[in-house]
Amino acid sequence: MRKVEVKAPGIVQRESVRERCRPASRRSTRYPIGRGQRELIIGDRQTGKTAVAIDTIINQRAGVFCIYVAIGQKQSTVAQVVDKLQKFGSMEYTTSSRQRVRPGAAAVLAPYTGVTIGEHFRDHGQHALIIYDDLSKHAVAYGSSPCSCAGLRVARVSGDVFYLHSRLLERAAKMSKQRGGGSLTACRHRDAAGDVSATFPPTSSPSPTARSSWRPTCSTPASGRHQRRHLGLASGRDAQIKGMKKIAGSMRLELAQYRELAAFSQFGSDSTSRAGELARGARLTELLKQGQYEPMPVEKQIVQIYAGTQKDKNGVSGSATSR
Amino acid sequence: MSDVPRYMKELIEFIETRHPEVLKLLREKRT
Repeated sequence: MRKVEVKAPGIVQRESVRERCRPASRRSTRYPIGRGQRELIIGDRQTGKTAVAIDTIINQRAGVFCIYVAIGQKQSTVAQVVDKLQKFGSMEYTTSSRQRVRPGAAAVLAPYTGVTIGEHFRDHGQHALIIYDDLSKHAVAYGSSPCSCAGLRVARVSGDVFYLHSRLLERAAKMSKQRGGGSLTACRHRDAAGDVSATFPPTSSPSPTARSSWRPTCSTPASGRHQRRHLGLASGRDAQIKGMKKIAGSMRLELAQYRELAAFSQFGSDSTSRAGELARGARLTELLKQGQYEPMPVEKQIVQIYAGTQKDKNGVSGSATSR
Repeated sequence: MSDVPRYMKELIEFIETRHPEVLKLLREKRT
């Protein structure tokens, strides 16, 4: 028996995040998820936030127990996720926590149930990954539940939700060796669109996640940029493997420069002089596209990113490179 | 641009067939 609402471990009981979770995509290799880290996956509706989470679970395999917490989701949506995980054999190490009745008190309690399961593994020296899908719906469920302050219920998402979510996410931790060395990694989803997010204070979402956030989908799925990590808001570099750190160090900066240049080139007239840089940026962006549910081993990611980031290979065609 | 994924696939096939030791080395040297 464990209590579902407990205080997060203190700083003395923790240690730095150095180990990494197995990355699912080329993007997450550049910005790795460390074991014990808290991540924010933020994006508009229907743009691939859950796909990022499923990819991450699929690629964990043995060694990391995964908990998928579905909050306020339709039963059919959850069934699809579970079906997908079963197809890839991931349900052997994955538990899904969801409410079986209409949203309400069960939706409020679902993340607490999930994190308590994760804490069991963490406290026994094992590693666990928990996905909250998504906490925006939890905020709404909490606001409409009798637990919330009646005076704040008018605002739809009450102010103490920030405190609740911070407290919930603080329970994700990498424990010290004296405490068994286990870890609990948390990925929370947040819907960037709609009336729910409008009521969130703008700084509330990233801050409990230690400045580590994914913006999977700023663009439409048709453009192929399904999963994109937010540049400049990434942490967890200590957990990144050496090879990737070495080759992809400058890639983040180059992509940021490319996006800035691409935005300016829409209005400017001298785009021909920067055509090479634009083409290179477009190639780099293309390089980062990856199919859904197709995790790739890290060594292959390193080879591909190395090939893509070599400046003197700008004029060499892909066929020539492969030869 | 649409050829980039195909080129990358070819590149991986090339490395896997001609230089498998590179992937092995990268796989083992993780820290």
